[in-house]
Formats: sequence, structure tokens, C-alpha cells
Amino acid sequence: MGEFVVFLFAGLTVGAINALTGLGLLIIYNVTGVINFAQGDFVMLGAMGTILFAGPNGGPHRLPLAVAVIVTVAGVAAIGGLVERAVIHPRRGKGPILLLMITVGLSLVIEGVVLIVTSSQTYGLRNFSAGGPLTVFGGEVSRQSLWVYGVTALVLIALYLFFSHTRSGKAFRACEINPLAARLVGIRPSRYWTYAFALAAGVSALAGAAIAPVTTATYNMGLPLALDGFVAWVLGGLVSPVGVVLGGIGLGVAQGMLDGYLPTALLPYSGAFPFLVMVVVLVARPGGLVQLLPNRRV
Amino acid sequence: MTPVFEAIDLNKSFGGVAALQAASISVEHHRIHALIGPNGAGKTTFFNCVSGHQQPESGKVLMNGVDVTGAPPYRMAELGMARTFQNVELFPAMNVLDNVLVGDHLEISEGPVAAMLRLPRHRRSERRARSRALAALERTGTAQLAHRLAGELPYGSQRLVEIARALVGGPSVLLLDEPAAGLTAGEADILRELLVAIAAEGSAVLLVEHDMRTVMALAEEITVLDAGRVIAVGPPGQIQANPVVIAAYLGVGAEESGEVAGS
Amino acid sequence: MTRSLGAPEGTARDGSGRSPLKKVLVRGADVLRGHRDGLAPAAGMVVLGIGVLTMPAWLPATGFLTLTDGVLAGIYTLLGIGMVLLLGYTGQLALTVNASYGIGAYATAILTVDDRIDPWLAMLVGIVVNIVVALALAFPLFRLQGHFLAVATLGVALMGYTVFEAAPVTGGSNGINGIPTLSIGSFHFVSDMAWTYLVWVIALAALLACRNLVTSHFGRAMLAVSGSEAAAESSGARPFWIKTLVFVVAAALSSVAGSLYASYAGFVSSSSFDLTLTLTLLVMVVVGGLRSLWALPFGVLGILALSAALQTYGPSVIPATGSDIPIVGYGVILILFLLVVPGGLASAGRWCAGQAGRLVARVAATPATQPAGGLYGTASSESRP
Ligand SMILES: Nc1ncnc2c1ncn2[C@@H]1O[C@H](COP(=O)(O)OP(=O)(O)O)[C@@H](O)[C@H]1O
Ligand SMILES: [Mg+2]
Repeated sequence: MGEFVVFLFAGLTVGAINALTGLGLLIIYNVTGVINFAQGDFVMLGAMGTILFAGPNGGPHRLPLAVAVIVTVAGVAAIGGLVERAVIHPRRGKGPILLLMITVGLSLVIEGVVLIVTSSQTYGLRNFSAGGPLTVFGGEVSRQSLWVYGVTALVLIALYLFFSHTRSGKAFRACEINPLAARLVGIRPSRYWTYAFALAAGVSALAGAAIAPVTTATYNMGLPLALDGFVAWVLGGLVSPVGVVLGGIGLGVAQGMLDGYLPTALLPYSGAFPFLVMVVVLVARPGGLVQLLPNRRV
Repeated sequence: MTPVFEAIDLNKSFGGVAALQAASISVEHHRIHALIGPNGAGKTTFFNCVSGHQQPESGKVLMNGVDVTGAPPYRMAELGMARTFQNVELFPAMNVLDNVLVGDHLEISEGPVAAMLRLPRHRRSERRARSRALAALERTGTAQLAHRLAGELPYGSQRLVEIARALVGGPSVLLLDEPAAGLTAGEADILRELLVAIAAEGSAVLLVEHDMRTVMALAEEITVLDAGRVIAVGPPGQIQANPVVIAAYLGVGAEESGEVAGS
Repeated sequence: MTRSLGAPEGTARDGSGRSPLKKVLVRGADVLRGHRDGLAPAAGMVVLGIGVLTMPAWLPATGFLTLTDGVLAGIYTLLGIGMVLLLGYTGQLALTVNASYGIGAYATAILTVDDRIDPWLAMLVGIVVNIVVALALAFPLFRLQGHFLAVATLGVALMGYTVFEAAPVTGGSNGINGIPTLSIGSFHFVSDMAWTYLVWVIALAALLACRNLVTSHFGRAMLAVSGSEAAAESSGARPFWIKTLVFVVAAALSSVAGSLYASYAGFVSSSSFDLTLTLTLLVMVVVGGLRSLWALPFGVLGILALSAALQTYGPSVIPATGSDIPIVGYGVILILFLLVVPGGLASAGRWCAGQAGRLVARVAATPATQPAGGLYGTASSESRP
């Protein structure tokens, strides 16, 4: 039982991270139709930025954690909006594949810049709250994991309130549902491309800050995160935030159980599991997915 | 004589909108058959359902009396159907000649290995296809554009090139969705002569067109569609005199053609 | 051949009846402006051939490239052809190249390491396995459109990588050592020079064959599929089969590349088949030009040179970044090309040649014997991709 609970909490932590990355992908996709390959790099920027401002483990503390997190999230959101203006915006309407390739380039640039700044070192960050692990249902869970769960829940609730109860949130959704009608009522969809990138980058940066004490941070941590985020996003059905969170958590827990209970001979293959699930889901429901593609009439 | 192409009682709806309701048509060799109706009547949907781009919910599509309902578009092409699209579907990154050559795809039978090795028989096929494509361009009056990029052409030329692509393979049934839209007066003249010639050679032409002058001058038979239903079928004189048609359509159509004539 | 069905009007033929020099000039102008598609590829082939033949001289002379890069460039070219065909011509971003490359490499490594079978036969086995796998994958994968295909193929690629890492038979990250080299008769390919020529003979042959493919009805169908599947289909081209054909050709070429790599390096490990390879290739293909087979080797060599230069000189400028430093350049290059020169070096080259052609045409047209307006007039109204 204790073992099971440990695997469960480990899976939940991974799942929460998947969910947050997946939410970023979803926000951008819903508004722009772009699949952002650099989403994991926003998470990395969040982790690195927080570490930079708060001071890495083993060094003197700089800013208080809360301040460091706020500054970082705001900074990464600004970066997200800026890169959208700089490299995505000029090629809107040139097709999803070109835009996807541009985000691949974006990912490499972000990694490259961080590589130069951090010299490919790994940095750790102090836990958000001091104290040893808590015992729940006979298994131990670290306090930082609780922070990760909390941040995920908070983000989901905040996004829900934003999208359904604020004017600008509704404007966002108007763009995704019908850009033409949105324009008619005075909303400029093109501007929401920038907002979507900024919002997604901010959400991911917050995720990065929360996981930094657990995972530590290196310049190239983004790609694996983005890949798991893809899986969560696909599992969640691409358009529903709740679905993406459930998909991400389900994936994380399943992965945690696999890593825990798979026979040793099969254990090395467990890394392929998320991708297998993703490919099967994509291929098994093309009807459902195709309907999500812009319906091109001939 | 069996009609070369027949559609019987096609039904198709999008969400709540019934785009086609028991729509039928029958076309014969050597004939130009017009399909007319106000905007949103279901003409394009009808084309899509018979060319395989959309699946009708019920009804039958027959080619030479054989049931081919639900066949994919390439199968319909193999059976001798060619079409153009209301919103011109050219391949913008290819030149005009290559665009038309795509229409001749089925006439080149060599496999990929023959193509990779440039075997003499493949070269001969390609050469023959090229002269057919040039001839098709010639017929649509666009031969001088052969080496231009399709995406760069003015709209009217694009339409003519698309027609050349449709007719290059010598289709037995040719579906044209508003071919005269956006053409200059000169281009429209070329088009009208071309359609008459194509029908004279034996193809069945099914024409969706808003320009009543063209329709009345060319079509031997007209099917009128309104809200997905066939409301009248007959020769032009009869259609023009049909009160149901006039109520549903011709009032608008007469104005439109008047505008066209005046401009 | 591709006898360009008559150059567009206002070109070459009106050069008849003039002085021989002028004829040559007019011809030259046509070639430069791309009106004679028959000659440009021939010229490309000659330039590439000479470039390859002289590799042993000029590669080391750069100071940061070696003949190893020459061999690798040939291998990357073989890999890149598939990406040009899939992405550039057919419009499908399928990212499984690392898997097919790995299958080829491991086929050779596993089957030849104890001299079990002849390396050439092993290469053939790799091709067959790859074709079977590609066919099996094509059925589910090509039901997907656009960037969903990219996501799904990325998943397949990562599953492939996990298997390469985990399967006992591949040796994972420890790899397989002692793979014998290739030989023809009693000649064993040992020196880098011999390997450079071997790899490039194969790469150039593949380029030529694929160039023939893309100028045939298959190539037109490929471009048609990327332009409008609806119209391609109603012209009788089957998008699914066209995509599958290209996918299979790409897998077979990647397989050959993998086998060559294994035999050349004598060692393979899973780290050669990760996502970095795919991303590097993507950059190379974009730099060369998505729709140009002839420019591909230039994109490959350009990126290899950039990478080598950064590894050689980078650490002195940006200290302590280690061997990961090339990615700094890759991202910037990729974005710059996609935004500024989306046609890659190929379009840049074509543009320069076109300008030169215009100049030559003007020279040929200006002397007093030529009526005013002549060639120059048509040249400026000319339009080429
Ligand atoms: N892909 C589609 N999705 C939803 N509704 C459609 C679609 N295609 C056509 N319709 C609807 O079906 C009806 C018929 O349209 P259409 O066939 O384009 O008419 P026409 O070509 O006669 O103008 C219209 O009400 C149109 O809005
Ligand atoms: Mg219509």
C-alpha cells in the first residue's frame, strides 16, 4: 500500500507538470491553430528564471521566492508575446507546418541562449516551504509535490474563471470559435495570437518555477517536457482544458505505476508508453480530430 | 440509350441544414446539361456528392449504368469524370503546364522505378502527355501562360487553366462549377465555344452557372435546384416559362444577367 | 532531359541569324534565367561532381572540416532527400527519419559484427525491413493531416529511439563495436577518401534518381497533393498512395544511409538516432531549399561547416558551452531562413543566376544591330519561381 501511494504521488507530480505544459499548448492551439514545439522551453525558462532571481542551491539567496516567481512569470509571458510578434506573426496564414517549423527554430534559439548564459550546468532551487515529507495514506509525499498540485489546481481554476467570466477571456474564446464574427464585434483576432502566446508562456513558466526544486533545471530540459505535454494535450482531446489536465494526470499516474510495477526486463521500454498512447489516440480517432481541423470546403 | 451519368435521389445534410433532398439528375453524351439555382441551393454539394468529395447520406450515383455510389474521387476520375471547383483549386506552386499535366496523371502508366530511371517508354509517355497538355491549354486560350506559376495568374486565367486540367484526360463527364465567374467577356466567349466543342466531341457536360445568358444559350437541358430539391427539369424554353422557377429563381437571375449584359 | 517545352516566348530562338557570340550570350542568359530546365540540373550535377572529387583537397583546407565531414555530408544528403521529397514536394512533415536510419544501421551492425553475413547483403536486409515497416506505418499514419501527422510521427520516432536504447540486441547507449567495413572484391574501403567517394557515388545516384522521380508524373502528383488534395484526387492521383510511395522511398534511402554509417564508423550506439538528428536534418533541408534536391548537399555542407566552426572556434568566444554549442547556431539559422529566405539557398541561387541572366541578356540585346525593346523587354516581364 505504502509503495503504491508513493508511485501514485510520483505519478501525480509528473502528471501535473504534463497537464500544465499541455494547457499551454491548448491555449495557443485554440486561438492560433499553431502547435508550439517550444512550449517545454517556456517551462525551462520559468525554472531557470526563478533560480536565477532566487539564487541557485548552494549559493546565497537573492530575491525572496515569491518575488522571484512573479518576476519570472511576468518576464517569460513577455518573452512569449514578443517572440510571437517577432517570428510567428509575420508568417500567419502560411500554413500550420511552416509555423510548427518556426517554433522548432524558436525552441533551439531559446535553448541556445540559455546554454550560453548557463554554460550547460544544472541548477537546483530550494523548496517553496521547509520541512520533511508528509505521510499520507501510508506513503510519503514531499511538500514541493503538494505545491505542484496546488499550482495546477490554481491555474486550472484561474483559466476557467478567466475564460468564462471575464470580458477578455470571452473575447479569447470568440476568436477561437469564429474569427470573422469576432472581428465584426470589434475584437481583433490577430492581437489574440500575441496574448495567447503570452498567456501560455506565463502558465508554463509558473509550472517551471514549481517543479524546479523537484527536477532541477538545465538548458535542454524543455524538449522532454514538451513531448509529454503533447501527449497530455492529445489525450485530453485538444480543446478542453479539463480534458488536458485529466489526460496529463492520467498519463503521469500510469507512467508512475508502469515504472513501479513493470517487470525489470520491460522497464527500459516504459519511456515509449506515452508516445504509444498518443499515436494510438491520434490514429484511432482521426474522424474526431479531422473535425477540429479548419473545415476546408471545396 | 443509358445515360452516361446519373444521380438518383441524393440526400445530404450539414447539421440541421438539408443541402440536398432527393436530388436527381441524368446526363447524356454529347449534351450540355445545366444545373441552376439560387445561392445555397445545394449545387456545389451536389457536385461534391457525385465526384466523391463528400458522401451522400442516401441515393445512388451511376456511371454508364453501374452503381458507383460513395466511390472516392480518384475512382470517379478513373471512370471518366473530371471536374472543376467553385473556388478554383489549382496547385499554386506549380507552373501552368504542370498543373494541366496533373489532369493527365492517369494517362501515364509507368511505375516509380521507370520514372526514376527515365526509361525510354516513360519519356515517350511524358512527351505525349506534354503535347496533350499544351493542346488543352491552346483550347482554353492559355497556352502563352504555360510557364507561369499558377498562383500568380489573374483569377480568370486560373479558371481557364483549371478547365484545361479537367479536360486534358478526355473525360466522358465534365462537371464545371461556375466556370464563367470572374472571366472577362473575351474569356467567356472562349469558354462558351469550348463547351460546345467538348459536347460535340461526345463528352457530357454538367454546368453550374449563374450567368443566364450562357446557360440559356448552351444548355439543351436544365435542372433547377432550390433548397436542395429539384423543382424543375426541361429544355431552356420550358424552364424560362415555368412559374415555379420564376418564383424561386429567375426573377433574381434575370436581374443578374441584366447586370452582366450591361457591364 | 526535360526538354523544356519550348522556352517561354521571347527567348533563345530569336537569337538565330545573329553573330555566334551573341547566340552564345542569349543561350547563356536563358540557362541562367532557368528557361532551359534541361541544362540547370546537368550543370548542378557537374558542379557537385567536381566538388565531391576535390573534397580531399578543399575540406581539410578550411581548417575546421575533415574528410570525415565529407563522408557524413554524403550520409546526411541521403537522409535529407527523403525529407525534401516528403516535406518539400508532398507537404508532409513526417519525422521518422531517425528510426529508419537506425533500422538500417542496426541491420548492418547486428548482422555483420561477427562476419555473419556480407555487409552489402545486410544493407539489403535493412532496406527490406525498412520498407516493410514504412508500409505498415503508412496505413495508420497517413490518415492524419497536416501538423497532426508531425505529432504522431514524432511519437513513432521517439518509440523507435526508446527501442534502440532498450533492446538488448542493440547494446543501447553502449552500442555495438567492431562492425566490419565494406569491400568490393578484394578492395576494402578503409581510408576516408575511399569512403567519401563511395558514399557520394551513392548519394549522387540517389539524387539523380529522385530528381527524375520529381520531374515525372509522380513528382507532379506529389506537388499536387501538397497544393490541394481534393484537386489531386479528382485528377486521378491517389494522395494516400503518393504519400506512401514517398514515405517508402525515404525509408529505403535512410536505411542505406544507416548501413553506410555503421560500416564506416565501425560502431553504432543509440545516441546517433535521437531527435537531434531529425532537427539537424530539418535545418539542413530548410537551408538548402525545401523543394530543391540539387541544393540539398549545399545545405548539408553549410550546416556541417557551421557546426564544425562553432565547435572549433566557439569555445574561445563563448566559454564552457561544451559540444552542445552548435544548437545556438541552428535555431537562428532555421528561423532566419524560414522568415527571410523560405526557398533556401536554392532560391537565393536561382535569384542570383536570374539577375546575371538578365544582365547577360541586356548585353546581348543592346548593340546597335538589335532592335530596341528586344530581349530586355521580355526579360523584365519574365516571371520565374
Ligand atoms: N461543408 C459544409 N458544412 C456545413 N454546411 C455546408 C457545407 N457545404 C455546404 N453547406 C450548406 O449547404 C447548403 C448548400 O450549399 P452549396 O452546395 O454550396 O450551395 P450552392 O453551390 O448552390 O450555392 C448551404 O446552406 C450551405 O451553407
Ligand atoms: Mg456553389
